[in-house]
Amino acid sequence: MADNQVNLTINDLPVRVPAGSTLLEAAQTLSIRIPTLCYDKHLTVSGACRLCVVEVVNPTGSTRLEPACSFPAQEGMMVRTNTRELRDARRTIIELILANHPRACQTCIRNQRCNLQDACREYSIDKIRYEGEKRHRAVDSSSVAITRHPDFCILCGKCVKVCKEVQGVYALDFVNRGFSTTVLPPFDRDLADTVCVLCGQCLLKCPVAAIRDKSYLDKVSDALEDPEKIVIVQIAPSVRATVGELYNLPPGVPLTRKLPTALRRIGFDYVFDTDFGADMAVMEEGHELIGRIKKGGPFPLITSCSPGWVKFMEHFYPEFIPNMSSTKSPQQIVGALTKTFFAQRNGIDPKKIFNVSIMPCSAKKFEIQRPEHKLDDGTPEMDAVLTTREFGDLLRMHEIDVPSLPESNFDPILGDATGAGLMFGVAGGMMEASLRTVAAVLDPHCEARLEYAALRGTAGIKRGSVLIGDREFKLCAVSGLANARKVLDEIKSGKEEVHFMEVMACPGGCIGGGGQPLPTDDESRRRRIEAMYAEDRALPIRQSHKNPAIRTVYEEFLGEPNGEKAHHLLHATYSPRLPRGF
Amino acid sequence: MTQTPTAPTATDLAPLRDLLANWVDLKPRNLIAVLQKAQELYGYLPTDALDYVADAMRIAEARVYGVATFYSQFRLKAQGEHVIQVCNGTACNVKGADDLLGELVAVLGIHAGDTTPDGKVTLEKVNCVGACGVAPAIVVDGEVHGRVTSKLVGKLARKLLTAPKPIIARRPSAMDKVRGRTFLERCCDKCQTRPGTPCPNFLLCRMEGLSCHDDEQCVKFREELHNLAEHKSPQFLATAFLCKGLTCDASDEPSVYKAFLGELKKRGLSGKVDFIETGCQGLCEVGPIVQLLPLEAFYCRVKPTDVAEIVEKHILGGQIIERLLYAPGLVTEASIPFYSKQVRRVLSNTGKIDPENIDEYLAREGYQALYKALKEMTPEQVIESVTAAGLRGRGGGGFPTGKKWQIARAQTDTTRYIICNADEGDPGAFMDRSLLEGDPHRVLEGILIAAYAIGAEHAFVYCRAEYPLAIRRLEIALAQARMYGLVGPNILGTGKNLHVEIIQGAGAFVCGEETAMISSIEGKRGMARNKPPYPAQHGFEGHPTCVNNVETFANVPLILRKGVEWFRSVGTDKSSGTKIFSLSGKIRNTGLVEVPISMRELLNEIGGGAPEGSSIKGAQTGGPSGACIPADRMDSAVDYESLKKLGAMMGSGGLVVTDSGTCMVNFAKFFLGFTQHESCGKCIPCREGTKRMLEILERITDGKGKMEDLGELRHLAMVISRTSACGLGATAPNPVFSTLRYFEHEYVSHIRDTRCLAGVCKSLLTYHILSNCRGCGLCARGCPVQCISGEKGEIYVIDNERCIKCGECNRVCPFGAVART
Repeated sequence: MADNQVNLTINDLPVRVPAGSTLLEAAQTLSIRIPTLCYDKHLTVSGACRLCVVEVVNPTGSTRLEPACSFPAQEGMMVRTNTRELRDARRTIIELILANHPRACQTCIRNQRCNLQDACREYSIDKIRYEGEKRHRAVDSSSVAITRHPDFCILCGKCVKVCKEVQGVYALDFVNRGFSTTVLPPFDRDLADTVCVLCGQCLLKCPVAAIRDKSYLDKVSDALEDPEKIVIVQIAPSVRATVGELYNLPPGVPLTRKLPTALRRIGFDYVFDTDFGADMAVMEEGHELIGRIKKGGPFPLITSCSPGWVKFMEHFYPEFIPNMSSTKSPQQIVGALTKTFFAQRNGIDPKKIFNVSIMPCSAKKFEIQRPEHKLDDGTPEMDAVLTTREFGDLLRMHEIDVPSLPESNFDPILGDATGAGLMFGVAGGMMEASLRTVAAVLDPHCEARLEYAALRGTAGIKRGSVLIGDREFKLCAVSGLANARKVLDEIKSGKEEVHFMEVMACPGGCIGGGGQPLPTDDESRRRRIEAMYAEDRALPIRQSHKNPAIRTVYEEFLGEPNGEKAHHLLHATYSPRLPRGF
Repeated sequence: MTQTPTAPTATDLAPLRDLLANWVDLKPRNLIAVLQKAQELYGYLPTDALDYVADAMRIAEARVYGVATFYSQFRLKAQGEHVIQVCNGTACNVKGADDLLGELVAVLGIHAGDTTPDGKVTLEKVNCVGACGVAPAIVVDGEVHGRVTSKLVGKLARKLLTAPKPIIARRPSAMDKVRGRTFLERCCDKCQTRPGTPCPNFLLCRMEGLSCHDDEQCVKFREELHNLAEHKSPQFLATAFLCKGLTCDASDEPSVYKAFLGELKKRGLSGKVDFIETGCQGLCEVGPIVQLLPLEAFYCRVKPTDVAEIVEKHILGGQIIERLLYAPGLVTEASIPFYSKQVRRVLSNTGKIDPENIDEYLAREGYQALYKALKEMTPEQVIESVTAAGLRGRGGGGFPTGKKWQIARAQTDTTRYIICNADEGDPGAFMDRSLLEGDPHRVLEGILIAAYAIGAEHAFVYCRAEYPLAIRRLEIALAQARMYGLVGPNILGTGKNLHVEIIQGAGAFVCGEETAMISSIEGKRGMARNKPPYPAQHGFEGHPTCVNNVETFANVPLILRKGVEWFRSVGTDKSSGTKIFSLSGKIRNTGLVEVPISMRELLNEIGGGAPEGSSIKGAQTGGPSGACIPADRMDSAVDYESLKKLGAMMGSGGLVVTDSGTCMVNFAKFFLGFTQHESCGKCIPCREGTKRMLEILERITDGKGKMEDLGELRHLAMVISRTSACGLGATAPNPVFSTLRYFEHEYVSHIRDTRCLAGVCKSLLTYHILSNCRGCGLCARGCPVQCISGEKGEIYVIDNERCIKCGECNRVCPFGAVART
């Protein structure tokens, strides 16, 4: 047990691991694979599926089965991970799952992207010995972004845990017990009537097709087919770094300039860039920050471009409404300007415009429906949102192979963006982008400062500070709503002072968004983030205020940042939302 | 379990608001208790009340709903004015609970779990209520009725359909019982003792007479108190011990006690007989039991009509009433073989004292072990003694108690907890209930000693809600112990503190599993957690926590008081001491027995063998986790190791006996149905696997089984037992394993011959009328579905298509002309 290490053997191979390691971790150091279904290293271990059971030899020579995901490695242990009994037990467990499953693989949205299917293949399941009663619960499609299909659920509990532990929302829990156990929203209510913030993290964790996108593909296809409609699409910063994964490219291979080609081939009339909206958001929110710095508060100023976070704040922390930046999200800014500035400039009737966005985010579907995101005549700024995954479906539907396409540019003005706008796609990036402008405007010494190391990387809570003039401002960028809770509680109790706070609902920011391709895990997040940083560095302009297109829009249309027209079109209000969250 | 909440109606939330506003130190972990109180207020849990609870306690709604749907005690639908609950315990099942339910379904026209459309009566099937000694039992509006028949319950149900709403009597508060003359009374002004803050030498003074002063008056005063507590006071003509154990109480209708009061009043003797309402006296089969002193006698099946004779002949005339004895010539308890073969150590007070009077416990060396531990021993010495005594957990697992305490004490975290597991969920088990009802202070003393040993300042007693009397007795005991300075801050002036909190379970068998119990005490769904870490390392709210069973704690004071050698003088080397069993089912002497571990011939010697006209087939130990083994094997040895070899387990001590009228396949199905219903639903083998096993068993008992099913059952049983996450799942297949091992021929006859040898499985039965039918028509009139027809004087015919196999025709035929095959 010296230096807190333990020695054991796994499949007769000796291994030395830190005390407290699980058998699963110990096996991984030997490249020994153990199947899992309910295990996720970021969630509390439940040991529910029992697929990871391994054989542990007792001192008496008899054996017992223990779950590798939770059982600690101990000195002198003898473990086997793939005996005949284990294979047979795992096969039986898989069959038991299947006995209570619709088994509709061919028509299932998760066909070939399903962990249960993988397990079946791995264990060569060719028959199901058990038949009997199946649990049945109605599909819940009340939410604008997420549908629940309880019949497909295998009760691994990952959705419950990610919602509770990572997001601090707790909109779902196990209900009933024994064979009747189901995952449901409280009181069997519609998901739409709960504190669910539509972040979509549950969908990313779901090993099967129990949680799905509510698809807007048909609506978009209808608009594309309608000769009267001018269909305009915008694409979010992080999507360019993840589309490749839909074509089985490794994470972090951006296809930025191929996307406009692809979108035009599908039939979109104009291709704009949400990054432009992000540049505009830097201008508007940056000036809010400048205003508060000059006025002395209220601090912290908290970002509002993550719609999951905004809904969370309204349910759980409405006392922070005065702290929220009123600037709309980049999606809504592009949407609003398309139907006003762009329509006027090109002599198009805004009513003919059908605005589509391709987003890494399921909560954006909620955002476009918020009443404050309508033009004066009641026209919604945005008409449809497709997640990156749905975009993949659209591309497949049109037989388009993005990686092999020639490159082309986004359409001018609302498609012209800087590296700062791009940075909105990673957690901490929005704050960095804002500082690139705010610090430069307030302090000439900061003019050339582009990167803020403290705000970079994959940590869920990133703290830093910036010296503007002779004053130090405290920064905090969080991603994952449970992390937001921690920081907000500290601020509330007076334990922490923050001047500028960025909150992204999803861990890692938009590159880890609930609308991104499967799998979205640590590795894919890390590589997507690196790709975003690299693309930013390669761009000629990396500060929003230096974007000529932004200047054009202000000069021709909006006037001043935070001016009257800008305020009217690009700013929103928030209000407490029921049910109250705890 | 699947409940859909009723549509939101406006509930008057004011009482709930008051409840929560007045709750001292309300924490999220109180959620279950809050929901129980809310249900008391509204009769069920309306959705808006749950919403309010979530809001007021600042708990996520999802958690509140998850908890409200996990525990079977909670109802999301309104209940009827009357509630009939049919006990689905093992003993009741063996004795025909299904027939009772069938009758009630027929009379009320609703299924279990439903309420009649007029809102009058709700019918429920509930887990074992612990009245196994008088099985089959039902509970009507909270009152247990034992030894009921289909006819009786049918009549009762019809009556309830028009009966007015019952008025629930106020539960007497614990303080009502600390009355009259107690040890707390001061002899004179010199005495320092006050309720709640007794003199530091209080115990020594009252027990051993080591007073700070010995005025003659005061010495005499204390002597009087002693005489009262020991039932020796000369002021009474006699002392009558009325068994108020659940079983006797359930058959004591109308009340013998009331008859006594009436009779004494009539004779002008009011107040001249001391009545002691005791806990279970043990021999439930012959209840209601009344024992008398000083002229000792043990009277059985006492009815109110016997009371006049008892007063006249026994109390006033000094004569024994032969006809009320257990058997001719067996006058005293000690003379009855049921008792004389036992070694009643832990049960020594049960049935002999008033459990609601701490003085009676104190007068029998009560709390002296605690005194010794606190004043004379270090915590380590206490643990050493318990280890040396070889005490093993009596809840079923048999883990060495001292070792568990040692592990908890060795943790660096000094916030430690004790949990007393009183969630006796095994159907057919009522040992812990009897102890809590009969001698609660003994359990409490054990808890106090354990807390001292491991260094805990907080203890929980987790008792199942189905045991309201046990909970009430415990509350009373706790209140008294606080007054006597034995619980709370600064115990016996030693500076040691212990707070004891009673947690009421909410109807989930799995909460008997220690990690699930901890989740439940934390106010969560009772889901089992992974071990290791074990609770002794990482338990309640992450702190070291020792979970021990009621009977284990009750043994502890004996070890310290009588010594390790004495404790080890019975039992085997590996299993020392005694074990309490509850005997029920098809056996002559149902009841509560305590024997040295390794006792042989338990069923025949103490149980008295089978009732007239039947023979014992098997014995089921350890409840749904246990095994059913042939009776002769059972009588070879009862200790942890021997039972394990037989594929059985000691379990908590429930012992249900089956006879030739019990179908072992059906019996296994019953247990599997139970565990399947009680599975927490977390792990796949238990949640899904037991369901499939149950379905296979259902096919077999329906006559649709295949021989391959037996292999499939064995296979599933093996996988489930090897891979399940907690003890519930790991042991759930045991009833199937054991019946397949010892009674495989019964499975085969169901499958191959579509015959149920015991005549229990209805799908395999047919009734037909033989040629000796006299054509009286009784059967046709008795048939609930009118499927028997015929002309008077002719041979009647049963339409087997419509027959529901209830057997009523067979029962009513005076000529034995209805045959069952």
